[in-house]
Amino acid sequence: MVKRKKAVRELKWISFVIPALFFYILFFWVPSLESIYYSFTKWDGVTSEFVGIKNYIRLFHDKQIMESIGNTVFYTVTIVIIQNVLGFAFAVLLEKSCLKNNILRTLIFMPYVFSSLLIGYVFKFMLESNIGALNNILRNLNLEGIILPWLSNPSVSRWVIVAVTVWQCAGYTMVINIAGLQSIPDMYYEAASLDGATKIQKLIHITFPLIAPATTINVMLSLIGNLQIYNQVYTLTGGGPAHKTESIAVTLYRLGFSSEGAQWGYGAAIAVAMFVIILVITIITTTLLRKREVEA
Amino acid sequence: MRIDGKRFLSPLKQFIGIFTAAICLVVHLYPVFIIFSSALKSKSELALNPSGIPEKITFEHFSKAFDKMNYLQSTANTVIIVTAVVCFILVAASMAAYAICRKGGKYNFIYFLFLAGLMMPFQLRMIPLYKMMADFKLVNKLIGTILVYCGSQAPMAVFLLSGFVKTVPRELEEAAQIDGAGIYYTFFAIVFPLLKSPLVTVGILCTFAIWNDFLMPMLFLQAREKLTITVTLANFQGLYANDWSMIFAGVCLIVFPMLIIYLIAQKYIINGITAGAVKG
Repeated sequence: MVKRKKAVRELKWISFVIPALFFYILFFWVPSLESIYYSFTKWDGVTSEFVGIKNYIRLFHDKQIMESIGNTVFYTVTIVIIQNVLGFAFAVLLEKSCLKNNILRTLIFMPYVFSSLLIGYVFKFMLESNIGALNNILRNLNLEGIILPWLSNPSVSRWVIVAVTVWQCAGYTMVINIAGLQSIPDMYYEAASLDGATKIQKLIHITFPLIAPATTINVMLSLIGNLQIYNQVYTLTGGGPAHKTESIAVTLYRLGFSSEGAQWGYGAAIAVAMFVIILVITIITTTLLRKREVEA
Repeated sequence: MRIDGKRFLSPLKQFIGIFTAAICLVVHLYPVFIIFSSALKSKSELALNPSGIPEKITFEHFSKAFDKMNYLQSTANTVIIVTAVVCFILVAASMAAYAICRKGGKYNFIYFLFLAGLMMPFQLRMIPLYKMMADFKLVNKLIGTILVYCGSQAPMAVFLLSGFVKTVPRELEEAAQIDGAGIYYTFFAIVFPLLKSPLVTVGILCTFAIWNDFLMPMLFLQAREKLTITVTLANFQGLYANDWSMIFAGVCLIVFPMLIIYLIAQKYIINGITAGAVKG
């Protein structure tokens, strides 16, 4: 009797996770696992022929893929660093009493609300070489010297993609950092002041270590997001010129699923490789960052 | 936290600080200004004066974009999808988060199953998912897209909510259980109401995600009367590639509702993100 009661209780607990798991497994994991299977085949959507790891071998010899991986790593590393530095700086500045203001926080966070597709269109217009707003301003200020081919030269447009993403997401990082700062007890700073610590010393020895949990979550979220970067690249440069700015997701779309078609097996292999890269990088980074977290 | 002494800054330093902050803020918000100002300029004015304040305000692009985007229909479609998904996700994800936090053990595996979902690119499941939807005869039906979103929005919701459930004290639940309340009663009568503010956050973030998404609805809802709001703009941009006033009017029409929701609920959004993330 007691045993049965316990079993019923267990079933009730399981029923708590079933609704969320059901659709998640059905529409998320099932097709993903199917793709993993298809990545070992030559697949045109109707018939699939098992080819072993041929798709993966091809992937490693594909110069375009390697270049896209390089670009994606560049985007991710620069975005994660700049976004976290800015997000931290904004958070510290906004926490200071003279600027402590919810309106500022609201305005800085605002771009996050917009679709990155729309943001892409807006910046594409602003950076247009002839009628764009930025060049117009620079000409009016007689600063024609610093006009660059914003979207047509890959080495410039890579940085534009980084800048636009940081502009959109720095507010999110800032908000998480503010919460991190608020969880640091005042007494640490008071004790440090009594010992005559300078502001910089307090920042390095108190704020940095104690804000580590917020940093971990920030870095994790932006790693996951930016390794899948698609919208910004697609709208701003379309991956061009000559595919020089493509991220993995953009290349994957073009090679695997474009109108040329019938390369779906290969597309699936790229997608699997992308998932593995994201998983490995995120796990390594998060583990390393967790190590430096200390209890407040 | 207060870094001491800051309140006694000299007026000059204070002025410089505020001045720098103001400049940064203007630069930061300039793209938003561009969206609204460009939509209000006539085509010829936009070509001559792309960066400044409009001299003559015109609303013609708005009415044109409104018609061309089939605005009412596509907004209605999106609102139906958003409402259904948000209602489902709030209940299902908070139940899952509750079980994960209270049971631990094997349920931690479920948590990682959800976390792994955050790292899976959409492209990985895209083609098999499309075939599956075609087999189920769910392409070009709102319900199909709703069900897919119920799956794809779950990871983020579970992630944020389980960070929050951890902070809910167990004493209340234990008291209820001693009084003989079952698990369902305990959850729905005691825990669920306590989750009000993170639920608002998750609901709003979910709304933004669906409202702004275009890859998924572009695949599954292609019939003209089924398009969602962001997809209409993507199509629209293809048609009016150089008519920027029109595009910006379209952008405004899409951004307006979200901006209003954001400004009303910003407190919830910001607090909810932080609670779920930092404590989780």
